[in-house]
Amino acid sequence: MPKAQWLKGFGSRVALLSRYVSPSLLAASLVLIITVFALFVPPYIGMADNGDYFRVLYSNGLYFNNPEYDSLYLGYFNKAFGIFQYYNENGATLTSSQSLLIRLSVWVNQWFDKQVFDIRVQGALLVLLYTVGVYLFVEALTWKVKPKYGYWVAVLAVFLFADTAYTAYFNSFFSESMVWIMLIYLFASGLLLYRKRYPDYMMMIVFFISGLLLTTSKQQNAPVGIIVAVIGIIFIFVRKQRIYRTFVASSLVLLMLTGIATYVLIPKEFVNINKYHAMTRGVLMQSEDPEETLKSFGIDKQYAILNGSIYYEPYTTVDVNSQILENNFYNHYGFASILAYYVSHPDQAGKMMDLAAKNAFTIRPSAMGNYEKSVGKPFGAQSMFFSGYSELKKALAPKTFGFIIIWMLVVAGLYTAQFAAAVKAKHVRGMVRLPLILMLMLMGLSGILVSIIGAGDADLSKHEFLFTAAFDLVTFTAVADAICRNLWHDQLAEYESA
Amino acid sequence: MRRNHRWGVVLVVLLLLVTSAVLPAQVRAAAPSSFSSVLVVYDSLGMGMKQEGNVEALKRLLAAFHVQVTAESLDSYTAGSLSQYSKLIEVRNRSDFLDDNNDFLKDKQSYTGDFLYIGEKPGEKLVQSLGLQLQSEQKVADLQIGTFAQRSISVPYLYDSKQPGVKKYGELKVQAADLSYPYGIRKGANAYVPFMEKDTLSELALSYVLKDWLQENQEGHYFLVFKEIYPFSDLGLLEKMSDELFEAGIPFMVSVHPVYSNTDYPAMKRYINTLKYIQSRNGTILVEAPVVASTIQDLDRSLYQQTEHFIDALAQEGVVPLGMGAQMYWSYDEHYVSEGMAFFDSVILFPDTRQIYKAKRNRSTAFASSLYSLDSAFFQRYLTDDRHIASLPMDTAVTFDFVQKESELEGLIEGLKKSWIAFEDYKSEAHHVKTKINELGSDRGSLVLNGVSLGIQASHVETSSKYVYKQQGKKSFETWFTVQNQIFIVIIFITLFVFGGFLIIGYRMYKRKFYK
Repeated sequence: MPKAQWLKGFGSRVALLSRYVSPSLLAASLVLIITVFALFVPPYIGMADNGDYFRVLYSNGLYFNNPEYDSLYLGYFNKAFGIFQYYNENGATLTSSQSLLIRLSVWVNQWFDKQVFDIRVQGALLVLLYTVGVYLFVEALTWKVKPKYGYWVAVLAVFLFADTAYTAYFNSFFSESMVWIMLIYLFASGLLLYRKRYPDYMMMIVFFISGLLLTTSKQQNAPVGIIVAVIGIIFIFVRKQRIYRTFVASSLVLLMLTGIATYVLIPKEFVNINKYHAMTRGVLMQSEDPEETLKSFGIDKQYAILNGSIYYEPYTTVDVNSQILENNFYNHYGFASILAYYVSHPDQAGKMMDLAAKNAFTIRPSAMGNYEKSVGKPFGAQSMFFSGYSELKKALAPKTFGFIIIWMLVVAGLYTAQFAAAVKAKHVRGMVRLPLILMLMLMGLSGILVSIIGAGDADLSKHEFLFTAAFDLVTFTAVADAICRNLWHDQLAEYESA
Repeated sequence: MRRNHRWGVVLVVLLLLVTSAVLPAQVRAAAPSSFSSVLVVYDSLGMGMKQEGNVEALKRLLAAFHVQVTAESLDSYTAGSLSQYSKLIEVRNRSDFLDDNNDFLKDKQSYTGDFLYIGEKPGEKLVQSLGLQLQSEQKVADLQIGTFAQRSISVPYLYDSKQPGVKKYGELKVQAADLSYPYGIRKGANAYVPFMEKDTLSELALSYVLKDWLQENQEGHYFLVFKEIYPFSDLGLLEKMSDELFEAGIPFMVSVHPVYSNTDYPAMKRYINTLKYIQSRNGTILVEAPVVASTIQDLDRSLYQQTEHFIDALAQEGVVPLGMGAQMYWSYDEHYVSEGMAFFDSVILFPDTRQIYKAKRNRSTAFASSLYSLDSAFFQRYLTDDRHIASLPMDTAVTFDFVQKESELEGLIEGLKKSWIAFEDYKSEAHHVKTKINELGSDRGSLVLNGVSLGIQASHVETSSKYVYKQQGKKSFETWFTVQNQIFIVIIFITLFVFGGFLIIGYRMYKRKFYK
């Protein structure tokens, strides 16, 4: 009896809470508080530079103003950077939505300080954007759901979204922060459109802009634009008005073109690093006969000597950016030829996939530290504050490609019944959810494939961020829908009929 | 007391013996012998000006005279340092520099050692000792020295001296007037040069002054050196070039890029076989310094072990490298000197293309044999007469980048055959390379490997591509699993067949029951 009483009391408390705070507002508020505490209360959490910063820094009017910067690489987070006070002769080395964010942050920073850029300004902007994103996402999953289920989802959302493995990226110049937030917006806007929670036009605009920013946030995300454009075709048929259909169709075409442009506009140096690894740490590494493999690409067999070597080797036989490699090595292969090679050598592709899966569940690369040097932590120390989810995931996820396949089949299978019902009912809006899930899965898969084809096994845990992010969002959605009894049947039809 | 003392001595001796036996002996071929040292003080590196790079060029020239150099800027000069040197070179690149009351000037007042001044305004003391007289300012002149000439160079100041006993170097012919003045002036321990710019004839002209000023008596020789040789260069072309040069009687050297990993691969075998072939065609092998990456990395790599591994891999196959080719800045870096150059007593110092220091210092390491390197195009540019080529004051490597096409090779070989430069054989002098397990060197024209004179006969060898790149892991119960696999396949197919049958039967029963 006391148990029944307790449940009754709990139910009334939940009802009271739901009158003032919705699950989505609760989740967003808690994520905001925890993230602000992690990023803006000493000791500040951020990400150490792995040597990639200079690419985005100089082209956006910033420079390294810390004389001891060399000693910070990989080990310590640095929050202050100089703002160029004179003409910046460095052309844009990276065409990325990350540049937009940095320029906006620098502009805001200049209201307070014209000479020194504090990366926390960018962090603050991202936290605001993130909080809204989390709100929308949780709203998409808990809208019109019984409060007792909704709050469980909200609590789980805090566990995932406030994890510092994700939020530490906000205090960094890595584009992963942009990838993570835009992926949430993209998925949330799609789900909200499915739920018909907000006006369709508004959601399509969010869907389109987040897709655009996600595609251009990282060169590796070029396929994302194409995947979104293809799967997004279903959105065209959600409404019958010509204006709506024209708007959605033209947006999708633009997304596809953006994807292609992102691939084409990759700067040369960027290509060389990945191209080098794609061959030496990918194709050659798994080959039984590297000389024969090289011959199939039209490359001199002597290049077999580079097998297994990495771009970052401190002492090398040949300059990785030299003309000899340019003419006789890099010019002989590209993304397409390596893809074709893996297709014709599935055994090698399988081995690479398993290698990739080993790093696919790590959100935060172990190589980079989170603290400032002044905190006094050891070189490369990482914050354990609110990182339960990421640590659990790293420790428990079965790290094989087989598991990834099973996960995809199971999750897709869970949503198929509802999709089939919507098809049977010829209810297009109801059909949107499964393609959205598949879209995220394909994006994640593209993250793995692009990593392997584009850069072999080098920097896998950082390159596979898109997969780990997509995995988390899809898994969380499946769990939330299971909690809310939303997996099997189509509540949408009920809403619409109501 | 006395007994205790004796025991102490015994203990010390024992300790020394144990230490020398237990601690790994760091092999160092470049045993520091008594190289003379020079202090170079400069006011500015002249960045962005025409003087940019002249301090670096001066350092490279001094290295070729086997001198240990300490280079200091005026700003970093510490009071009293000058007293430790008996040779001083002052380089003035800035005309707007104010002679403030700095430590260097104070020390220079009491300095009595050898003094060379490079710049526009020599001090009063030097003017008097050399009898320098300003003849003209801001003129366009032609510079001539030895068998080299450069036309139309802008000369800020032209000095001359009528003092008895002065030696003059080169000739600056003023174009507008029929007047000639010397480029360098020296008397005893003091010398003056009005300007020096990198990659111009003034760089070579200074070497004539330096040779006398440093009292270097050794005769200079020319050596032919090919660079840009990688394991993936056209090895057939390399062998062909060796044949052609051998037949033409031209001794040559190849500075080859090292390989630190996969040294057991057939590709490496081919590379080594080609080097062996070059050696048999009177070619000399040098180990080029590795390319230093500018990228950030946290990899733990030992340059010492990697270099040693490469030298040993060569030695194992009978290839004897005699020295190292490196950019000049390597000799100013503690890390590169102790980890990469420590095996060699002979080097060629190439001009710096990109400086990536690990442990920079302002003092250089001198080597017993150190060639000054000169790009072949630079050499040809200032040569006045192709047929009378006098040797330069120091041993000089005339460098060529190894060609990539056969058509380019023909032109190169033809040019060398016609050339009147007398190239020397590097092996004719003594060079030593030492690792923990190998001692390599040359002695009067022959190669020596671990004390044994090496026959250099070699012919072209075809290396098979057969090699097990991936070791197969040891498999247990292989047959058992194969049989088991086949059994399961059969069972699954039977099951599928039976299920298919059931489905058809079930469907027919369903139809019969409901669609009557």
